[in-house]
Amino acid sequence: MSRAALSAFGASPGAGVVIALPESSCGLVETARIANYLAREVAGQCGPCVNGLPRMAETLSDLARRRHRPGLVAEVERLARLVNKRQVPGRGACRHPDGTARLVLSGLRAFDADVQAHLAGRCLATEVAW
Amino acid sequence: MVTRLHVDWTACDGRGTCTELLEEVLVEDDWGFPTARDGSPQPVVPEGLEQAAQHAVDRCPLLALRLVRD
Repeated sequence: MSRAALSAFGASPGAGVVIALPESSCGLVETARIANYLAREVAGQCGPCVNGLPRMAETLSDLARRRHRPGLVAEVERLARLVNKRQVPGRGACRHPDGTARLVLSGLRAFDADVQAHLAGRCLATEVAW
Repeated sequence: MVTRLHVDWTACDGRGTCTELLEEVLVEDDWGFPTARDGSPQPVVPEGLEQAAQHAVDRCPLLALRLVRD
């Protein structure tokens, strides 16, 4: 779980929090839940973060709730890249928005099967409380 | 030597004066805050636009901009 070991996979420990998801849960729903939490934890100093994180989390939540509309996934990605376009510090005085955006983008990739199911109006998890 | 535009995000309030004065380099995001067209957090100021960039720095109502030279 070290930075060096994870970098070989293009990953990083981020905030260093590990959550073991039960098999019955939905990775996409849990990512949206965390994104909403992080959007509420902004310091409130910087416009791109104060505005961008809640909008990004809400859009991801629409996907988690299976409220499909055209371009939904692309919109989540666009909003994530507004705060952190590359693997470099983004538009803000701290790295909170960067970490949140990277979590969301990597979540969309890691839980791609869940994303596709949700776009089709289904969920692969057996027990979801949303 | 490269000149970059640095934004103090704790001061910026998204007034948009800079995006008007330096539209080749900056564009407004969904909420009026400046985003670099080249996607970087500290956009390079091209040669020939240095004066316009200095103008944008001088005119920011929140004094949120400065030019960085390295």
